[in-house]
Amino acid sequence: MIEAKHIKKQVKTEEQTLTILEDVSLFVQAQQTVAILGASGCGKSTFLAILAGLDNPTKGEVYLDQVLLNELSQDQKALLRAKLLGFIFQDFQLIASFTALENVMLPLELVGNKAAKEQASYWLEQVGLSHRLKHYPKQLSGGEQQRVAIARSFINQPKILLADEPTGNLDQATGHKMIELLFELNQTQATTLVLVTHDQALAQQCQQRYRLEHGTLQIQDD
Amino acid sequence: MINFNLFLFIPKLLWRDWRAGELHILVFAIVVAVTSIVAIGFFSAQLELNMQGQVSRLLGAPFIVRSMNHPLEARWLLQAEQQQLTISQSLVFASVLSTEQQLHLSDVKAIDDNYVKQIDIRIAPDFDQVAIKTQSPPKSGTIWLEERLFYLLQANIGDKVELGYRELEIAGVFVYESRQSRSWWMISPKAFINRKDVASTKIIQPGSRVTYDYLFYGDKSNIELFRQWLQPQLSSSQWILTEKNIPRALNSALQKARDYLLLASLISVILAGVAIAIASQHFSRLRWDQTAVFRCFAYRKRDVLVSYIAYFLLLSVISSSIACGLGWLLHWVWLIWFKDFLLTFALIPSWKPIVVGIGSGIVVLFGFSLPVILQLASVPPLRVLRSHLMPLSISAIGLWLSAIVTVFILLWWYSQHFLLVFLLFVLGFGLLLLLLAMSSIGLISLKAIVNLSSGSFHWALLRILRQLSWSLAQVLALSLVFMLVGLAWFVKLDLFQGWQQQLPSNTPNYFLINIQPFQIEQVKQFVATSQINATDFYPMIRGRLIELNGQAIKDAIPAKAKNHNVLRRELNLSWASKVPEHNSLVQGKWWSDDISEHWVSVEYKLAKTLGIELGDRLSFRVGSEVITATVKNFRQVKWDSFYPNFYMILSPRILDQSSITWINSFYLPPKKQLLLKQLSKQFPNITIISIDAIVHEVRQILQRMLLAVDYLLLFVLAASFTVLFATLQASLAQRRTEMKIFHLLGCQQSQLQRQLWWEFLILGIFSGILAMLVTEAVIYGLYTWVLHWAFHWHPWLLVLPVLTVMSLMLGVRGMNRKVLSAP
Repeated sequence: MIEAKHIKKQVKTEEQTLTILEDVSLFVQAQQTVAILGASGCGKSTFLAILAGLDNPTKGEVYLDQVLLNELSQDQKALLRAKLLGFIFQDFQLIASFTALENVMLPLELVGNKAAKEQASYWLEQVGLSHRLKHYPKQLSGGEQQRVAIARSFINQPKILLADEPTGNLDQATGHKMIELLFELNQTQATTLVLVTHDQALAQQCQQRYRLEHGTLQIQDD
Repeated sequence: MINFNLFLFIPKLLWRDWRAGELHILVFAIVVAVTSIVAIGFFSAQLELNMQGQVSRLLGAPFIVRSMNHPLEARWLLQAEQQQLTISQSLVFASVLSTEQQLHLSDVKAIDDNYVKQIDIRIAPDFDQVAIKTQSPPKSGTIWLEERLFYLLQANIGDKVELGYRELEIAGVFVYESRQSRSWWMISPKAFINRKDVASTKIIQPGSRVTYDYLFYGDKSNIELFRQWLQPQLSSSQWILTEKNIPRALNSALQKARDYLLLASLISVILAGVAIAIASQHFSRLRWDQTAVFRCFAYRKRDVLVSYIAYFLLLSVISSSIACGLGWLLHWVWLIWFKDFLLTFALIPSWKPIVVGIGSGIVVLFGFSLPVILQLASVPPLRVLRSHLMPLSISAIGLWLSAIVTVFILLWWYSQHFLLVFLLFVLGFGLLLLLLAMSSIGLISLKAIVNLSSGSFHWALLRILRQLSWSLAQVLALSLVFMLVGLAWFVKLDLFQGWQQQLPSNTPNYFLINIQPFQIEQVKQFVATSQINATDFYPMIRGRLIELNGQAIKDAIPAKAKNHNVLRRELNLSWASKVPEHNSLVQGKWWSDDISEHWVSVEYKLAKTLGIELGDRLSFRVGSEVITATVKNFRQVKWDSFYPNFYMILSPRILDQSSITWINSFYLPPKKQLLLKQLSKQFPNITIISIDAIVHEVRQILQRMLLAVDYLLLFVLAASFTVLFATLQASLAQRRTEMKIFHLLGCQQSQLQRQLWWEFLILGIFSGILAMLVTEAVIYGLYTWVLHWAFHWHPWLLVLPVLTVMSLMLGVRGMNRKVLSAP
């Protein structure tokens, strides 16, 4: 489902060229759950951005559902994301002027899906927020906001779900509940999940764990 | 390919943003801009309608054709009738009236039924009786005479007078006619007869000098159609009477009012544009995260671009529509308010202000926010993961260019005057650079006192200097706003003052002309003993300008001046030993006692038009004599002053004293009106021209204008406060986070508040002083090069910095609670 081959990422600053990813390869099968662990600043999010086509690697190739991302234009990547990917972000990325329902509807609304509202209500019910449809993000707790984000990530029934530190901004108890919810939904939807985290407990739930260190990826044995 | 789904999504997005309160200032700015454009549009149309009403009242009809010596072709009149126009006619000719005892030359006007229905003519049945508006022309076989004709002819009501081959009975005393076209100021006394009697007098023969006036009434559009049809067919001895044929005083008042209307509407549009620019940038900042999410999910760059264009288009159409309604409503309120002052009370049945309003709304919004839209399209989708990633920064040049092009298009559109707008822009651009340079120097020089300062003042200074470009932008915006407010305000004051000076309470309301040389001492004595406030007496003789430096005048002047009115008729020539009252020398010297040569003083504008230089020699034909004089100086003449004015004034002793007459003007208060009777009885040959009605009309028009202009100023103020509000909002929102962090770090709220006050106080003082200096400079440029008004200094501009600081402080006070609310 996802294949990254020899990814290298360098960033040029005014003084020097920084190598963030040296040589990273990853293969994720359909419906597999994968965690990428690593310390802050090790390049986890950069790698995720490259997988999502949000960022370009300096070298190497990325295949999503057998499509080579490197050959696609920015616009084609956007269309591919709409079709294939769901996202969960550390800081939720909910739109402040939208209600919970509208935030969840967004991915379908952007592609003109007329069933956006029913689908969004359904997914908010799935994450236990059917009573919060008309609330704005600022009226919700952190946990509730992340649940809205999870509902949003599933609404376009993505084949691949990418999550960037999904529990990073939550307390332990809430984070724990969030993980349960995420994996439960993942299982019922048969989604391929790649999540980036430094939370060992969260990583533990995944079938496969990798550690990103010094720009390279290694399988983590427990 | 365009993603059409987004057109369904955009209205929803707009609604959600509005609901969240993120669009309020932007919408408010558009609404203010468009409302003022629409209201001013309606209002100008209304004023124009009223002015036209006033003009056609003075002229006698909305459309008048004058034909010299020949009547208009019958088929033309038939065409007018077919277009449902009512026609009334008058014809005027000079002829001798005689009784058994006396005879005298008079101007005879023949009128028909339609004429008296449209024109207010007042006739008294006898002397000492009240004149009333007549409903019908003189009955066939009768004549009305001006009062002095009774003395000149030694006649009474009921007596017979002969006019050509016809005997007519005197049936009334002519007192007043509402038509005031300039050429109807004739020297000879007036008489009125019925048009049907003209033929029987047998006076009008081929070659007779007759002025035929055709007054057309009817539906405005029919008149316009007829005018377009007729105009190309008119011969050189036939022309349309326009507002140029009404007294100059009125004409110049109307023109000044129009100029001001245009200026005020332009100012409010520019102000609103600035408000929109600021508000849309603030709006755009709030959109960065949202746009990143859109791009992450599905949007291509092009989708973002198309979305926001559609978004802004929808926003401007909705806001403009609301504004159009509001503008119409305001215009309606205005109508109700000034009902008693208006000549015609009617709503304007025109869509033009609406179309212009919505069009301007769209143009202004896009012009001032296009760079912002382009910036939004450049928000990288990766921002969802890395919030520090910024979209491409807006190029300052792009932003300015877009705004400048917008304002240019709008100004051009409104004023229809490319060159004028272009010049204004060059001037404006220079001014902006100057403003930028001055504010940069001013702000940077603050560095000198940073180290000497302490406490909140010190922190305020530091913040201004650390964010220099931001501070500079603030100072520029604020000084621009207050400059424009100052401009609108002070130009208005000058307009008022000019009008008041133009018509002081003792403005002459009567002219005495045709005073014979042997009467001059007696008339002067009469004026002195009656304690009448009179001007000097001027000699006057009619002469035609025939040569310039020995060359026939038509060959000696520029081609474009060949049709100048002055060449087609005899001029009133005068002479004087000193510069006349209300005239000022522009070039050259007065002759004083130097009579070594024959000198002539020429009116400045005429001299420029005809290409006359100092030292040129002008020749005039006066009767059978040709007089040649050297141009000694140029004079500026106030044509709208109601004083005797002359294009040409000669040095004394050139002209034969016997063939001249004298002229003067004076103010006669209503309670002294009886003196007129005495005057015309004692000197029946003298023509007394009453301009009381004109003076009254001009006063009325000016009074209406004053009210109108005051009302206009409200829009300018509304627009400027929107800018102020938008600036403060953008500026305070930006520091909200900063303030919270300071507060968290232990800064006291009062301290933060003091710092904020100091900061805006410093910025306010800077902007105020700059605004003051620049306003004066702009007024100077505007008066000198554009409006051609006389410039003088405006010491009251010193109030501007105080006003700037005060409004800024009030604004900050209103908004800082939000900023400093608990973290």
